[in-house]
Amino acid sequence: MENFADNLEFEEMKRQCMLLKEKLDKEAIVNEKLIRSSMQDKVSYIVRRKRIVMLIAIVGLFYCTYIFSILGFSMFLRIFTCIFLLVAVGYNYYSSKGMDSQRVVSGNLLEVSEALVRMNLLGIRWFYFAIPTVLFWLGWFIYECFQTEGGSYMAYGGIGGFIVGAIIGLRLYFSMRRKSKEVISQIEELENYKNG
Amino acid sequence: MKTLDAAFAQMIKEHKNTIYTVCFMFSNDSDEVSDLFQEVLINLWKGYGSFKNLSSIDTWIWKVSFNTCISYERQKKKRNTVPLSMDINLFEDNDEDSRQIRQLYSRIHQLKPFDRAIILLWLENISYEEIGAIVGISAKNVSVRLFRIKEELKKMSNR
Repeated sequence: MENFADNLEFEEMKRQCMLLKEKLDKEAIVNEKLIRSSMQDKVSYIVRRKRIVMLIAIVGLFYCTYIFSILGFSMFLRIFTCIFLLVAVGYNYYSSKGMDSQRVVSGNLLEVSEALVRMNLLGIRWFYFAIPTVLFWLGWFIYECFQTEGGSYMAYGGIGGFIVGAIIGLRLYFSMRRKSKEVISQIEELENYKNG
Repeated sequence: MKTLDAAFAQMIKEHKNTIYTVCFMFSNDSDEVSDLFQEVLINLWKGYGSFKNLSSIDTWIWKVSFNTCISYERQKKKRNTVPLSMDINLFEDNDEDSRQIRQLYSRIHQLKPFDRAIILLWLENISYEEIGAIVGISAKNVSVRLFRIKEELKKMSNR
């Protein structure tokens, strides 16, 4: 008899558990923290990549100055390269203004979204300037190579390095752009949801 | 939420009841349920990329949910409250179903965290082998512990 009563009690617990499930079935999840966490990962990725690009440009600045002087390239090419790389670092820094992964967690998402839109826009504008400048630089580099002994090898090496660098740079750029678009879209969806 | 990993979003949608039930049974109030719920989702999100189907998705979700709730129970960190996880407050709702659920809660919540996990899985009609796989003990140990837990529950209702 006692065993029967015990079983009834556990059956009741199972029934209560079912009640809980039925109640939860009617509920939808809205999890802002999760969405913010996902966005934070993406923004951190963009910020990290931006820093890497700036670091490469700074290292490149010293490297090119040193190597070009050893190879006997003209002072003008060295200065031009330095100025271009400095502009690239400055522009990269300027276009990343307002990009902070911590702001995604606790700050105003609309401001983060605006910073990302701005970054994408400035990224496109940079290409209008950078592509012709880099092509001009490459032509000048090749010309200077052929002014020195064994210049053809240097020119081929330079062109090879340029192609590899361009591929890596473009891949990096498109992956950052894709991530930033994802974050912008997530922010829009979240804000739309919150505003009904 | 088309931009969130679609498979993850679908998985959460399908298992939200499991996650919420575990969080509810390990919490003291609705704020803590929300906090825990979000904590579990974040841990699932973090582990989702490296989940290699070595166990079933159900087992994995139970495991992550229990681990998160038990470690939260140990640490009892103070966290900022954030917006809701599900728009439900089983601690305060006053309908008959909520009262029944609270009765279940008050029984289970008196058990130790590890025992809570085992009884919850048993109530879900999960086999001893699976319970063992989720909580990390043998099926034989599960049966011994379950016997002791049931005795404890009986004593509670006799009080």
